[in-house]
Amino acid sequence: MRFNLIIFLLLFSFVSKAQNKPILYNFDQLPQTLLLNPSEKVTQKWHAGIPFLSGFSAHLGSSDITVYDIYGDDNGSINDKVKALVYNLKSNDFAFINQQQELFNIGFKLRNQRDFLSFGLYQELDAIAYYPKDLAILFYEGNSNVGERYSLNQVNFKAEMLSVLHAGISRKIDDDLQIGARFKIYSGVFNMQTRQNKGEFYTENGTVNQYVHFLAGVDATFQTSGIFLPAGTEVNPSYLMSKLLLGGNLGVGFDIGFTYQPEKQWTISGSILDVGFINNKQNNRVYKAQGSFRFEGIEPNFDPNTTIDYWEDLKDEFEDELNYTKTSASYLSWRSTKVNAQLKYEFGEDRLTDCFDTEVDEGYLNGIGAHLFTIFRPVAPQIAATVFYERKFTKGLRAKLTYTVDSFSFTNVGLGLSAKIGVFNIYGLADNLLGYQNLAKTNSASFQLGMNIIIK
Amino acid sequence: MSPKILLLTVLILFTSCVNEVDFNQSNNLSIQPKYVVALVQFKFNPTIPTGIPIFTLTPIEEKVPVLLDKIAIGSDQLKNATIRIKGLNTFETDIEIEIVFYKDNMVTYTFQPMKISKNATFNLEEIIDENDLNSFISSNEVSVKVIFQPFTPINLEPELNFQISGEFELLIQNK
Repeated sequence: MRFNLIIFLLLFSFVSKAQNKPILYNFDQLPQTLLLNPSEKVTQKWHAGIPFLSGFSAHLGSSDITVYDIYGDDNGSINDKVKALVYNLKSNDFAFINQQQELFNIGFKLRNQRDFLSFGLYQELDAIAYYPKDLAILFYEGNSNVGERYSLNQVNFKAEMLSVLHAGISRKIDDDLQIGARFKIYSGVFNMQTRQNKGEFYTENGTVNQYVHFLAGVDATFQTSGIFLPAGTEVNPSYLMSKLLLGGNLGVGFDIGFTYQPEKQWTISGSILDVGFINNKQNNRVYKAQGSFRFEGIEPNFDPNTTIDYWEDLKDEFEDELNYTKTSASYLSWRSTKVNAQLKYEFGEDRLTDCFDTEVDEGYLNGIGAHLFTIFRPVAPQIAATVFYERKFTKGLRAKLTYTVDSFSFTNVGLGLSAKIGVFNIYGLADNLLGYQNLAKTNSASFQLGMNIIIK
Repeated sequence: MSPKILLLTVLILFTSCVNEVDFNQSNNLSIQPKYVVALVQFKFNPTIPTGIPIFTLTPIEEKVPVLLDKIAIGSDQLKNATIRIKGLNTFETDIEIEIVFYKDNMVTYTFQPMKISKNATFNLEEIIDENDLNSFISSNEVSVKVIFQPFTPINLEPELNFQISGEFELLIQNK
């Protein structure tokens, strides 16, 4: 069971699809597009997401390894496969999971006809862990390779669960320009993070004893909030809801965006999302260590007149040398900021819309364009580039086909469909469709689903 | 449809897209890390480390923690254990040393008493018998007893260096 967990975590370690949503971005004026660009042009009078079902998304994937690489029914030895995994993966490979669940989402056009106000609440789970290659090798082969140094610098991870209460406005400045902003209040359920660690562990042949073990140049911090709870605290749905409904660690953030149409058929848009932080104050535990420690075995003093608690002494020495502290100090955790940029060209005049509906911009049937996405992560930003083709089939049915290239995949084809039946809208978007033939062999998969009521 | 049912439905749909894999392979998964650990070391000149003359104390004994029980994730995961004991004796007398491992004051493993001849080095490598591994790896203390034979000091700066280290090979398997 333990191994299954380790393998699962290792595979997850390479989940590499960041929170990139190129299919959803600027797609069919869906209410959820406002969360990717607060300046999104939406023409509806109002919308309301179906509570709890208006938006669910999850992103999973892998870069250098797939489930098939480990569990493939190919008569290969699983031990050989795991060994290759341990040694071949790089320390900048990382684990990532992102899941979002909208609880509610409402928007409406203001009387001035140029502002669209939207607000809502969603829950998010976000985690990233970089592959600590040296420590994985240390675990895998032990420290018998005397002289080998195992770096602590590669230990970087962050995981958090939070809710986001948001309100945003999309304002039409003139016929060409639309700008938007969204204010967010974060309520953190839990957070744990460690980054920018330094130091190394190694063992050398010694003189005082046969081996001497070193923890050298350590400068490490591990911050947690909401992980170590007071005794008797039961983590159940009501606990989670209380934290999600502004009862957790609070923080603030914002999104900004613009949509510019220099020509009727050309649109340039961009957004910066989640510039913000959470001030973690509840149930914190913060571990810090700074210094060096050397161990050559316990030295008995053989003094019959003195009783020594060697273990306590060793612990004290360890903590003193490393300046080890465990506190409940508050700390800030910054959200992973994302940047979207898109260029779109539309063509083929829309003859499908109702000619008598003067409220509706006739628009175009086709759109092509390019999308650039960046998310700022603890070690380095991740970048993804997408080209897309968008097609309106009927008044109520629109599709979008994407091809995305990122650090991990060159075969990522995605498809999105959005259908409106009367006022009811349902959409489904999936990334990396080629991988669905056999998910075991794919490096990534992501999807978004949702239902809305949209009144034009 | 509740969100849980929706999520479950999606997961089941995804599961149907997973094939050509055999998850039972994980039952054959094992790794064999090997750890080397400095356990105990001490040095006597004519005094013990706290400065008391050894001849007023001999035989002298001390029990210190070794925490072998923390090395293995489970005692049945220890495949091989080798204890290496080294000594240098420049006293003009033979020194006898007895080493016994304990868990909570219960003996888990006893080494044959060893003698370090005068003006000599000592080098012992003991591979713990397979039948004793479980007991041995549960040890959390080791006692070292040092017995000096009577002698007349000639060397003004005699010393006894003594080192114990271990090499532990684990076999961690999926169970």
